[in-house]
Amino acid sequence: MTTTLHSALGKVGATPVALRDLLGSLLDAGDAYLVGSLAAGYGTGMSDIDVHIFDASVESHGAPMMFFLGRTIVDVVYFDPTEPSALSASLSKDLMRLPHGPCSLGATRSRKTLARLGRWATAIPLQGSPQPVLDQSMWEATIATSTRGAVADVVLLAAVAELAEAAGRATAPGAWRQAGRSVLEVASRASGEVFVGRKWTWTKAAAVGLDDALVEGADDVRTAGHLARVLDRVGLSALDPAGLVTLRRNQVDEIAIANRRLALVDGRRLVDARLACSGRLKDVVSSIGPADALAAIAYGVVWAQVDDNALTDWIGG
Amino acid sequence: MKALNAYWVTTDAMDAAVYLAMRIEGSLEDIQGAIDDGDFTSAFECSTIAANAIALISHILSSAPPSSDEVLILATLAYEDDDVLVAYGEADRATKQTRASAVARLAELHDAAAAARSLLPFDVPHMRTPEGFFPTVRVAKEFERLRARLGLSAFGWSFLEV
Repeated sequence: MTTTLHSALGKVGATPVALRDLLGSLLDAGDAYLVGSLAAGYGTGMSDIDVHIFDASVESHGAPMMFFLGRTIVDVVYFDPTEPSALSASLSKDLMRLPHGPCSLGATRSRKTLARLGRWATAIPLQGSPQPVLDQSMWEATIATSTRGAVADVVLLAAVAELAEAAGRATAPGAWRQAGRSVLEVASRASGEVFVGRKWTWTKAAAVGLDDALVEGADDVRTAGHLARVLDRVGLSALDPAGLVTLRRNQVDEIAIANRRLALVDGRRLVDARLACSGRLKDVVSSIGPADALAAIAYGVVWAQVDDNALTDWIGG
Repeated sequence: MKALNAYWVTTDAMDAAVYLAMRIEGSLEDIQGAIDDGDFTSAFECSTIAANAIALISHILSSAPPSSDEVLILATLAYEDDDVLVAYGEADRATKQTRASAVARLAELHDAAAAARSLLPFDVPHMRTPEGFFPTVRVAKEFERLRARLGLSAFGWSFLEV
């Protein structure tokens, strides 16, 4: 079913006229679009109304403004009008086919970029500007880029689950389950549902008609073996997350107090200097053990990043 | 009242207050929205997101970094062996949830959010309402003034970015 401006706003009891009246002169220049979950067709009666305005004359691009339409929050963000075309042009066309659709073999894009892609791909014009935000000739590359981001998320969540399990944490089954659930995002995005948002995972899975075996299998994941079976259903081979993830150090200063070596993280958090690690996760675990590697991520000493070349090899494998 | 450590108030406690206002209020509304739509599978997912965020509050108050990043949140809950993540590993399938289980879970989470709110050394206005928004902005400015007085830099809001 096609989502119209009227039907999207109707979910929160609003109308296009009321929204235009609220925003008033903000709509005098530039092109305004409804974006977010309502525009994507997933919203509920409790959703916010998200508006993006593309206007070169405004200086405060990216800064959000909040309004209320009745009790519904209206978030407005300005963007430079050249951003969508630049983003479309930057997408890699190098891709491969998974069972549900395309997956990029280019660089993994940031979650912020993927969220923006998803919003712009599903944007609905607020008034008199019927052209799509994104370059439609890049639609397949958009899907493929979004799919790759979802694959990267599976790898990162599985890496955490593997560390939790190796560290003997009782939380490991829950962490594996979260990684399993994220496999649904791979299949949904590859099927064309590129709007990003964990809370819409099941709505999207239903919208694209993912089969019950995949959906239930993903939710039943509690171990690495379970995850491997679900990955096989979306065309991905068994996963070795520690070989695909690299830990990068955040801003950390090593200091010593009373003969104890500590690392000052983010200028305010003290942790054992052992946690100030970096490199391939597999090597870090060999060096400091899984519990400390997990602590290093949890305390923000490092951030976990998927190694793009290794990821491409795995996807293609 | 007992004395408060002003540095803790303007760092960990401010992180937790902002997180509560910006991440938890909305996640509880998402659950209600899904229940109202009769979508109990999504209500379960939204409840999991809310439960993780609420659980994170107590860790933030003990110096864990606040985050909107699913991987970092998972790492924190996994490392801390948090009961919320243990329970997620034991819970029924999302597709098996019912209206009764979703409503009961939402009630539990409202209680958990209230308990998390009570850990803060001051009242946090409900930001996502017309009457609560401007008081929240005022409180944020008061925090910023205290941070400046203590010689701290401006508050870092970047953890709210997805």
